[in-house]
Amino acid sequence: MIAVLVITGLALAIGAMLSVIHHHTGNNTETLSDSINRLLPQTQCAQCGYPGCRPYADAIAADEAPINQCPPGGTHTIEQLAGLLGREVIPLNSTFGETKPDAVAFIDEMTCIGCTLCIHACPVDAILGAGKFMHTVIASECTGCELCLPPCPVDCITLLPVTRSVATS
Amino acid sequence: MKSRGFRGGLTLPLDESPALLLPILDLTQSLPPNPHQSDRHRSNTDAVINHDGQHDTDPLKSLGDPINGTRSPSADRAGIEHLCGLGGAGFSLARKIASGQHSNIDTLIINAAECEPMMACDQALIRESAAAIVHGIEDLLHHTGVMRAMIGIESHRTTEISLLRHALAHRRGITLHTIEPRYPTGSESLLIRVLTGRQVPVDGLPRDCGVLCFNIATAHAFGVWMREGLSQTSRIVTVAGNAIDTPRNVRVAFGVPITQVITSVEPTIDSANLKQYEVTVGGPMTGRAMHGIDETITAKTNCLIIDQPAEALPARRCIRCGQCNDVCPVNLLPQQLHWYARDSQIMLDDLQRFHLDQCIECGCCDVVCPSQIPLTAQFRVAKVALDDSREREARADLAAQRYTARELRLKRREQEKAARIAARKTELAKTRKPGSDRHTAIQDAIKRAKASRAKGSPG
Repeated sequence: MIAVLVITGLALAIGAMLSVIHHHTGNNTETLSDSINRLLPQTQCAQCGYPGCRPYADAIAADEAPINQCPPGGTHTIEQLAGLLGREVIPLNSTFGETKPDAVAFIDEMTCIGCTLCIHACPVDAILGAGKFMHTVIASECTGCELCLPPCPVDCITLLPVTRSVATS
Repeated sequence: MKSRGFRGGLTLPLDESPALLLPILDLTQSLPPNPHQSDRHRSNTDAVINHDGQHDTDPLKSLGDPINGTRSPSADRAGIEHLCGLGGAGFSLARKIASGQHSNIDTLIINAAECEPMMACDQALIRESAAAIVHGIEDLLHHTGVMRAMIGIESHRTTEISLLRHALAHRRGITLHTIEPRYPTGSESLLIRVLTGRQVPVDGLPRDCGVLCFNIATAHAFGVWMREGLSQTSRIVTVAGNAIDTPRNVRVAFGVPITQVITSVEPTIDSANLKQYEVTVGGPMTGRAMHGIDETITAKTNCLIIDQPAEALPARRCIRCGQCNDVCPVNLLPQQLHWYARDSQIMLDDLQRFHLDQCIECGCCDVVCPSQIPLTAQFRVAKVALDDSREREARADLAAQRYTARELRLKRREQEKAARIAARKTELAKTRKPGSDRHTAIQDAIKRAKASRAKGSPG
């Protein structure tokens, strides 16, 4: 009888301790969708068919979309997602696009008419400007998603390759 | 642009490194684009200097004379701005001093240990001007307000030690310490550990453990500026290697083409046959190949090694002998890093876990490797990849943040619009006459119109 009481008491005490620790550490609040979202390149280009990286992550988490629809992330992202979700690595579905080198948008200021259409299209607010004033791209915040290209009525936006210096000597 | 400069005159302010000072008279001509410039390994921005061979020994007169005390403190400061570390990293002296201003610095370390084997430029400087070095250290102590300076020098440099001892006689606050002559104790963090027993924290600077470290040549240049008003326009360069008959130290003005230095030291080499030799800029351990024939001497160029080309043995597989682990001065595991930094697949997470960024690129592991694996070169490439991935991660975080902010804003606007419409609707509903509703009103109007049409056009 004493033994039963002791064991029950111990179990209750340890249980209470664990629940307190769990409550106080509180770092396991990240959902599956959050983890997936962190692996996505955050280009917000919507090439996957969803309006941004977060919605695509939600869809993958809900098992509504396969993991091979992200062209900017390419093979690397697919591998990482497969690792996270315990799935098989599959090739990129090329109907959604091809992996391209990193780029940033550049507005030709001589041609820009200040229509603000690209500003509304930019998913990360990386274009600065106002109606009938010249626009410009904040290069450090541009993800190179190309979403500003179609709305531009005068085709003044081009994508320039990002040159990262790799020293090899 | 054609203007006559003077020795020590200011040429070009650069954002990272201190401005280049004119080593000789007369700056002219244009600035050609520098093909070697990259963010990571910035070399000097070149200006073409035509000189008439006259060394103007009357520098910076306009700033006043420090000897009779007519130079203003602001002029002193302006001069310090243009001094630059002569140790090999080329860090700005003014920045280093400023960075220590808000930390509790209690010791200055003066690095008189040569960075690498074969190098002897600091040795030559001590032989040339031990007294001026000590003056420079005193000036540094005075300027930084620190009470204590420790000079570290290898124990086998007996001539230099006795010269420094002599110069240091009866001076307080400066002590001379001999260290075991073993590469790479000339490296900053290791010297600090040997002399003070303190450990520079990971991801930290020497100032974080109460120390500022200066090369002995930097201290000398500082003293020369403070006492004689001469700015730093030249440095001592060791020219050595198996293609050089008599290796020697030469004092070279900044901006002199490297090829010119080599050809003047070794008469059998001329600009035509220089291509047959392997020229290393920097020491034998950490040096790099010369960028091109137009590369010039900068404050960082401490050594030139000219070798007969040797046939490099091909790298074989790692046999996991562990010798690299034993020699690594910063206690890393090069064989493990090598595994994670293979060309085909760089595993960034693992490299980070094994602290690749703490590698000081000393080259010890290359020397002991029985399979001749170019480990340091591999680590350099992997470091760039690591930096790159960190930058990419930071960019992705920023993009995610901005995307969520935008989504929230759009949602808020939508809600505001809906609220506005709803408010207007209720407002309209209030003003409408009681009992009337839109549909019947329209039906009535249609009926009235039909009736009037039937009346107006009979038949």
